[in-house]
Amino acid sequence: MNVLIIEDEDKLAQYLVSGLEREGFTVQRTASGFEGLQLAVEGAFDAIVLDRMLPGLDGLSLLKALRSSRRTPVLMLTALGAVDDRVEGLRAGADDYLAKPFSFSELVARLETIARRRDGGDDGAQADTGRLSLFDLAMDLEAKKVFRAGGVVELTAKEFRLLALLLARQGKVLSRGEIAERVWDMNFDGDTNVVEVAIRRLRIKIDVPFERKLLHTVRGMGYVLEDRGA
Amino acid sequence: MKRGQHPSRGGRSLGGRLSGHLALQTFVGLAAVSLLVFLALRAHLIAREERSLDEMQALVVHLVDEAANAPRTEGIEHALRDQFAGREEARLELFDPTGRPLLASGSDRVGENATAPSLMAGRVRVRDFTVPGSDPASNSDGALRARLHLVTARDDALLARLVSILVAAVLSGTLVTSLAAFWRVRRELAPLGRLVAQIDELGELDAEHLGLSRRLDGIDQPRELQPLIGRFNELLQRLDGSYRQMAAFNADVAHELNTPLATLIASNEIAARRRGGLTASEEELIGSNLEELQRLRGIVRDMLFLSTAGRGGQARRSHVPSLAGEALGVLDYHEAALEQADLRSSVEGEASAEIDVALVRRALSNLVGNATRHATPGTRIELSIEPLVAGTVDRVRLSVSNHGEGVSAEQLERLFERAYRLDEVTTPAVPAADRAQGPERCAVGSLRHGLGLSIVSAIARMHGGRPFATSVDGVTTIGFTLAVRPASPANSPRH
Repeated sequence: MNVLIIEDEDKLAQYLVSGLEREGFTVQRTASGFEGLQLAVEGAFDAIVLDRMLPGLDGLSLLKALRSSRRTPVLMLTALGAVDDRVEGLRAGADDYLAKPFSFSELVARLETIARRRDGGDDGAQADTGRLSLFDLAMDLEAKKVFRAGGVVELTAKEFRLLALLLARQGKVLSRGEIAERVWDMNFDGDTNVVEVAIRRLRIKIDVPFERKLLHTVRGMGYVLEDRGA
Repeated sequence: MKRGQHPSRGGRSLGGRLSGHLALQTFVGLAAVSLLVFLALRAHLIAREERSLDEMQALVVHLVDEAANAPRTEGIEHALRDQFAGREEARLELFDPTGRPLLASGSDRVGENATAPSLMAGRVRVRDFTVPGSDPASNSDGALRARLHLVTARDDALLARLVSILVAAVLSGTLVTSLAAFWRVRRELAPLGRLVAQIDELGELDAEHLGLSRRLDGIDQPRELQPLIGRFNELLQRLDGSYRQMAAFNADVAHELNTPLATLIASNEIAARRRGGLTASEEELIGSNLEELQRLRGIVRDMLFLSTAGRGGQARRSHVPSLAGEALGVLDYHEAALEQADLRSSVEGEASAEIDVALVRRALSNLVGNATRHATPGTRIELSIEPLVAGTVDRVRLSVSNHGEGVSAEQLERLFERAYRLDEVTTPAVPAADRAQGPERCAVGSLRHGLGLSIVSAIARMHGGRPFATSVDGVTTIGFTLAVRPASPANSPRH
């Protein structure tokens, strides 16, 4: 996936470039708004990461100019986190909006989502089959049933949604905020520990009775469902 | 202190004192005038009585003198009787030099009781005098002695009537003047009352410094109060300026912190993803860094939010048909945490409103989280939605109640202050429930930084409402009100 980063903060941009390259992206970066617009119009990018505040041409004006000719998915970054800024960005044609400071895994997830949305894809490759699985954990989305090592695991409706999200995004770290938003439609990162508790209860049902652990905590980042071997 | 409650310490009411003084002054003034009138009239009456006695004395002297040359004493007696016959108030007694009564006019009982009133009751003035010249009837030397009685009953009655008229006048005058003064004082002090109401209103808004942008309106205030209003407004202006500066500074600081935080979080996360290439201690270090960075991120985000709300940020409203539905969604979000704490939950009431649903969910979530932390296991957490109709603005009251140890009045007062944590008072900084959580807790670090209820308060104000908290018999209820529709520009606070 070919990504253009238009970000004037050198350090942040460097980390984003090296991080995304390690994730398998092809990355080009510029610090200038004018140069970014030129690259975006002329190049063939799958997605653009655009900082809102740039020297010269600011992010919003760049986006408006770009939208007159190209539909390249744009993920806007901003240090202004207010709702108004978000709405303004989305109105100007941004596909998604991420407030600084963001988690890198969330940036990756959102970039993939907006790129996939353009391609007409959906959330998980496995979801098409109506069945999600990882090692000996399987989920039948239609029958709303979960199996581990052949046995049925009883889950509540929300636990089912939580596990479905983790399974669909297996191998990717999901942040607390992302989980709260996608499972419960709570788009705030409150000062409660409800996601942690929900994860623990899910873990008791799908992981604790079994030897091989699938649901892992990534300190400071979130949770990931993956098979790390025996 | 609640609105409208003012300390009684520091003196009685200005209006009461002024009215009282005016009434007392009126009474004293009227009483003094009345006393003067009374004394003057009495002096006049005494002088008139004196004159009357003088005239009678002169008449007696004249008649006796005239009779001295007359052949018979019967002549004198007759003349004197004639003179005093029609005068009920006066009586004359005449004695020869030896003291023998010669004559008594007006009464036949002269000598029996010289000072007794003759025909009328009342005070009697008596005058004794000697009549110059000889007494032909007795043929002896020396002068006749005379005694005049003057009954002053009419004057006394006049004075008594005057006294009752004056007393009535003083009392009714005082009453009428006092009532008029009371009314006048109230009228004159009315602007003062309006000024106090204005200041009260400032205090009400001042919970988050919004009131600082308002000024007192001194247009109908008396000249004497103008300097006070002026100074007060200047003070508000200065406070407002300082507060705005501080809020802008907070926003700048938070904003400037976001970019380096983004860099730090991204770099640490990228380092953490290089799995296999890190030693265990490096992984530990990066994990710990990320925890702290996430905590910092949470604090900066919430401070930025509070700062925006404090500068008059308003909610972006959209129609929400069922607040109960939203409340159930929030309880659903907290389901696992409630179950873990062995708590049941319920939603009561229903309303529709135009609100910023994300913000209201956040406020409710903070309240439910707070209630979960402080509830006694096995009890129920109740979320209630009560539509209120107050004036023209329809309000709704959202609250969360829990059964627990209760919160003292002092703690309730400070509950919505920034960074005030009930935990610090009632439980250790990290409650046992959190400590027992194992690795999940470590995934994000302790994210509570005591801004949860301040955020509830800010969200309430962004919706034209305010937070409240009560704690009775171990049932603690914390909640907030919301205006279900945006206030019209006329009655919305200026920012």
